[in-house]
Amino acid sequence: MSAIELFAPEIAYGHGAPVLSGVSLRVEVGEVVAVLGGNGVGKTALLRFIAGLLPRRGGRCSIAGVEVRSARRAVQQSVGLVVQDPNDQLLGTRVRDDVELGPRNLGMSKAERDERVERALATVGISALAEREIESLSLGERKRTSLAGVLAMAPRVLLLDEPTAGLDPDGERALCETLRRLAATGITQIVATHAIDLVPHFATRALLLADGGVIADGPCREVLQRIDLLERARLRRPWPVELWARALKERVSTVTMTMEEVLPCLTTASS
Amino acid sequence: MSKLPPYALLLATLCAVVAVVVAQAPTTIVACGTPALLAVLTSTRGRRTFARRLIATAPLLVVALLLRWLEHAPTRELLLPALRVASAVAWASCLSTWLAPPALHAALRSLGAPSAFVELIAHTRRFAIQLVATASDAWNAATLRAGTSSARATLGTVGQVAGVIVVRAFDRAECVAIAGALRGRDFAEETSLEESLAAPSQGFPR
Repeated sequence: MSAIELFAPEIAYGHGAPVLSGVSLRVEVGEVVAVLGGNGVGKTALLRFIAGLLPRRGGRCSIAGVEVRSARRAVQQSVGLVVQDPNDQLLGTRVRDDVELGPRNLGMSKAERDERVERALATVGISALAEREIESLSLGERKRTSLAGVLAMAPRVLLLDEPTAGLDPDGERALCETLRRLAATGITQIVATHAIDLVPHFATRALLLADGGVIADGPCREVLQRIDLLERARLRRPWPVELWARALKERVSTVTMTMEEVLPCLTTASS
Repeated sequence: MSKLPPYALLLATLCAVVAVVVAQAPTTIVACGTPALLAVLTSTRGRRTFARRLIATAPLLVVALLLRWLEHAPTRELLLPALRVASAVAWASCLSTWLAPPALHAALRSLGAPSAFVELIAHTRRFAIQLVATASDAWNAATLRAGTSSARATLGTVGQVAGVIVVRAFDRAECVAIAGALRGRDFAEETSLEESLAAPSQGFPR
């Protein structure tokens, strides 16, 4: 059974004009899909639609075979959403209070809550911040806290909206590492982003949005070298792909996606 | 209505709202509010605007009704604030259906409102839109963390979202103040632009 099965003739905010049309998507368990596209193309709308936060205009969206038509049903199906601005998501006064919020709402015992909180904090590497006031955190720490708050709900499907926006390089690296670890535990992820260079570090599949719909859907290695489609989506190729296309294509048959893939090719080429 | 100049529409609305507020008889308030209600209900956009604003004023109505109830006021007196709020909301909804924000600002200016007041209105609207977006995002985030799974959880979520709204309101006010200061607002308060440009340059960008 697929983790997410979605068919949406139209996705729109409220009663407004559709942001996306004719979206069809099937995501398998443990898959990490990067939703790519320029500003205002509908990445956030797609995530909200999956989370049951936008009205349905026909079509269906099911999580693990169960149709999700509302946010309540999304909670029952263990869907977690990390919004772009952590300040909109952090509801507690201290880190621990905020992360504990979801398990408490689910009516868990103190022991269960503590266990969930400790695990979530450790997963995102902020155990040391547990007693800190939210207001004293940096943006990167707030982003991690908001992710921990969602992880404490033990999601099967994790939706992340621009998780790397505003992070420093160290924060970006740590986040990619966290997403990889979460994928290894079988958590399905849909990550909306335009941090194109980072995508190959955490995603296996790319969904390209432009002109009110999906213009490409496939493995990162295929989609991220299609300069025509990327430009249509107001994006560019990741730098290792660009380097491969400009300088290595003649000698190296497989497209390079990361620094680790580029370095051996450069050594071979120079020798 | 669209053939009338914006300032006339604004003036008519203001007069109607004042009449609704000062009227003492329920029939007068209903008579004042009915034209606006009919006008607003004829369009989908008007209906949505009216419904949204009515919901936004619900806490006000609840407080008014509670106060009356505590004072053991007769039912007739409970009716008056409710009718006043509903009629005023209907007129306000009408106005925003008829006039887009820029036209409303132009109408205010043509009625002689000080530019600072018009600016205040514009910023208040922008501020409200941002707060609504914040409230919506915070509520959605809480809902996805089972924040509405029970009556107790929902009550807690209402308090937490209210807290977020207040904190973000202060954050944004501070950001706006800093942005204004860095774009010469304090400078402009002390001296006019003409005076600044006439004065010898002291690093002021011309």
